[in-house]
Amino acid sequence: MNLIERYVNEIARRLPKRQRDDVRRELRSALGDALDNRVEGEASEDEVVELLREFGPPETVAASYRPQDQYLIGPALYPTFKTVTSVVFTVLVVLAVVGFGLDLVLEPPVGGRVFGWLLGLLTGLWDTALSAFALIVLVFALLQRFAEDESEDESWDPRQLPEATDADLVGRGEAIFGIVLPLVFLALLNLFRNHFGVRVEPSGELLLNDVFQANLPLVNVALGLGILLNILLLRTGRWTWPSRLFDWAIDLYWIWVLFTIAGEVAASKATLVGGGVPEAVAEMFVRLVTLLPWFVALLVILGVAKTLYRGLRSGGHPVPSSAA
Amino acid sequence: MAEKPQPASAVDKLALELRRGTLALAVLSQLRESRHGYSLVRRLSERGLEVEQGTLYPLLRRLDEQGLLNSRWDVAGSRPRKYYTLSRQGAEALAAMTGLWRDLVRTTRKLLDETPGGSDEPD
Repeated sequence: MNLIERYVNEIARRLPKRQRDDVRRELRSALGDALDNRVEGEASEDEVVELLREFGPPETVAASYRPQDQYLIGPALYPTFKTVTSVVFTVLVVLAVVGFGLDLVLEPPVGGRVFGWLLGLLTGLWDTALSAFALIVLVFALLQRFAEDESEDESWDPRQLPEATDADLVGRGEAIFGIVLPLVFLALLNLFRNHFGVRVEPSGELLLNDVFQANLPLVNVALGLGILLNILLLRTGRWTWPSRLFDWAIDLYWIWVLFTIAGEVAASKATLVGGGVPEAVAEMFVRLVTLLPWFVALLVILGVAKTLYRGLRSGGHPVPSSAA
Repeated sequence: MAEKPQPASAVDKLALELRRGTLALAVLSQLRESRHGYSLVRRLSERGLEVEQGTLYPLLRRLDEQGLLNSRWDVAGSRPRKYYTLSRQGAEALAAMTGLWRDLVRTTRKLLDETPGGSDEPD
């Protein structure tokens, strides 16, 4: 196939199907005209090459045919995306280093198993990093898709800008912390899922690890939602009605998760005793675990009450309304 | 307009943006009568505007899709050619853009005349 045909095809295959034939036909004709204009008779290969070079690489030409503002993550979101990604990756690397150290102490690999152990850890880190990155891209792509038109809204009224009080503002550091902390827990709990439970000496048996593992997905969801909330806060820079409600919904969900876990731990008292934990210690442990959700619930109620009280005192509505 | 191998400087980038910004206006201005892509390239070139052809054909297509141009294929000649003419909407856009352009030139010239060293540039 001649060079012009190959060039035109390379451009056309990068375009939507419905455009292809027309563009191919037009470029073929345009290149033919250009060649006729500079060469008498049959053009040599070098002359065709020179013409195509002037036209530009197929990728560039094809890109000019496409709409100009197609983004997975656009310029407005990109800086935040970069911040979040670098923070997440730094945390993952730090965790991996700490985790490798811990693992080395807890279960030192012996002899020929060292290579397998190292490979296992590295693939674990790779998987975690990859899923973390995929998750971040997904969240930002969704933000891009659904929060895009805000900046192009011409009917916006400066008088409707929310009167954010200091208490409503969310600092960048605060939001990033709110992303990093749950992420640390997420990584820690999942990387070391086999180490959580009640260890009984001297047998070294790990009890209740099954309860922990069974409920880990519920905890993952709660932590993930917290990360999502803080990404939103990082973007808006302040609390709004929807974000506060989202926050309270996450708190409610946490309380439910804690009650579920506490219930299962209480039901496993016999396992603890059977595994060698003294009856009185098991009793105390179960009581403490059962009290925990109540304690958290109390803290949440206090927090909500404080927000509402402050909002009521400062002008009738608890948070600056974004729906106004 | 030979491509320079070294990375584009800030001036090159600005110049490129400036040229690209005016290209649509230049193209619209020459399509009061029907032309195919290559004849448009030559006409612009004769009048001192060298365009990158790889940019021109996509631009023509975009203007066509925006309804500013009408296009039709002519298969009668030695090779089939796609001809473009201003649509009514395109003629209105050209008139509006021409006014805008003249204002912009006037304002920019005034701004440049105030700046020492910026006044001796011709159009």
